Formats: sequence, C-alpha cells, structure tokens
Amino acid sequence: MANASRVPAPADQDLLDRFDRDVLPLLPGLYGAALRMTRNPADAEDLLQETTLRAYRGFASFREGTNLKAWLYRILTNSFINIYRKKQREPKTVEGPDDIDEWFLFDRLGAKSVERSAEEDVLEQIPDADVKAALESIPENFRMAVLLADVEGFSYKEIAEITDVPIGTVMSRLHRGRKALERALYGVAKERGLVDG
Amino acid sequence: MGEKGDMGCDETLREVERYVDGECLRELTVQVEAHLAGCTDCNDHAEFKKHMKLLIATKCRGEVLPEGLAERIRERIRTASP
Ligand SMILES: [Zn+2]
Repeated sequence: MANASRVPAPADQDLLDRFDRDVLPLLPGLYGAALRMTRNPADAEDLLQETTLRAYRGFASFREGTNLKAWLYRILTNSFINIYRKKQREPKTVEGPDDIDEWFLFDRLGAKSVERSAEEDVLEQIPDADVKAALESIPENFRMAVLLADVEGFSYKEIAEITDVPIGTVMSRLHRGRKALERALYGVAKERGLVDG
Repeated sequence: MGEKGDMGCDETLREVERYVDGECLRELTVQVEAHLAGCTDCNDHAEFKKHMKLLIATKCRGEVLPEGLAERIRERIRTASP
C-alpha cells in the first residue's frame, strides 16, 4: 500500500506475487466468461492474455481491498469490446420481440399440469454443452448480463459498473436475456426429444 | 410500488425476478415473501425462476483452463514491461 504510486520495474516481484495470489485463482472463471463471450477457445485464450496483461499493468494502481473480481471482469469486458466487437459484426439485436409471453418456459414446463419432477428432469437432462451453446446464442448484451449475474454471481450494481450502463439497463438486459435463453433451452429440449411438439 | 397493504399476484410476479436475484430492498422482500407464502401459483413461479438461475449457474460454471495457459500468462506478464 505504501508504495502504490511507485513505478514498478519489469518483473516486479511484489506485483508478480500479488498476481499469483489474487488473480491466478480467478483465471478459470475469467476463462469461462471469455469462452462465452468469444464463443471459441482460441479467441478466449487471446482475450484472457490481453485481459491479464492489462490487469497487470493496472495492478500497481489498483487499491487492495476494493473489488478485484469486478475490476478484472470490467477489464475483460472492455478488452472484449475493443478487440472483438468490431471484428465480429454481430447483428445488433438490441430489441428482441418484446413478447407478451412473460412466462414462456414456465407455462410449458413449470406449470401445475406438469409434474414438478418432470420439469426438473427435462432441464437437468439438457447437457452442459447445450446450455452453454444456448447462452452463446443470445444477443451479446443480454448474454453478458446473464453471464455476469447467474454464472459469476455479480450484483446488479456490480454489473452496471462492469458493463458501464445504468442499473435499469442491467435489469432490462437480464430480463430479456433470460427470456431469450428460456426460449433457446426450450428449443434444445424439443430437438432432443425431451418435450413433445 | 405497493408500499401499503398486501401485494397482489401481478405485482408479485413483476418483482419476482429481482426477488430471486436477491436485489429487493428488505421491505419489499418481506412483502414478496408474505405473498409467496400464501399463494401457491406465485410461489411456483418463484421456484421456477430460482431453479433456472441455479441450472444456468451449475451448467455453465467450472470451465477448466487449457493446459499450460496459466503458465503462458505468467510468462507473458513476467517479460512484459508493466
Ligand atoms: Zn400470487
């Protein structure tokens, strides 16, 4: 703390130690997030390299005791936007059809008419890889919100800071993202013959 | 938003996502829970949302770093000018 303003020499042992202690344990989670963002392992690795390098360079000015995890995810998100958003040219589906069907999946799987265990079975039976693919299939802004909230466990406020949007926007992205994901999962369940029709 | 009296089903269902995310203020949380305790239908909806959240978390977590990636990252940092 005392030497927070000191300019670090290359391979500063202090910083490397802190990096090993504080950042290394978070790498698997960051890599998972990078995979969901880039949708392929090679780009995810590049993104993680870029993120950790930027983090290391900012590390000396990062105050210990503040939210390191959120700080790293913010760097990850910004790096992703800088490097890949131009490249990927994903159609910007800002608005999905904001349908009336608020409880799309519940009405099909969670309703009283279906046995509780049946609903759980259907969803549990969907392989991890398919759930990940479903998450990757939804529009980027929605995907990030769901990823940060449900997979990484960040609060609305943290997500707002990480993605640099107001909390209201976070909530709307989450809501729409989850609806889109439910639809995608229902599609998977149908394809796999886990539900009829 | 229902600052007095019991919340109805519509209002509860509007809040249920935030409730499941643990993002309702205490007072609202109490009201939502009071409604859920007495309404099977809304409670089913809430349970479904909780289940979805848990499902996404468990099925999308636990990626394993590719072999040697942590080492490559450390190496790159060690040789980078900060
Ligand atoms: Zn109700």
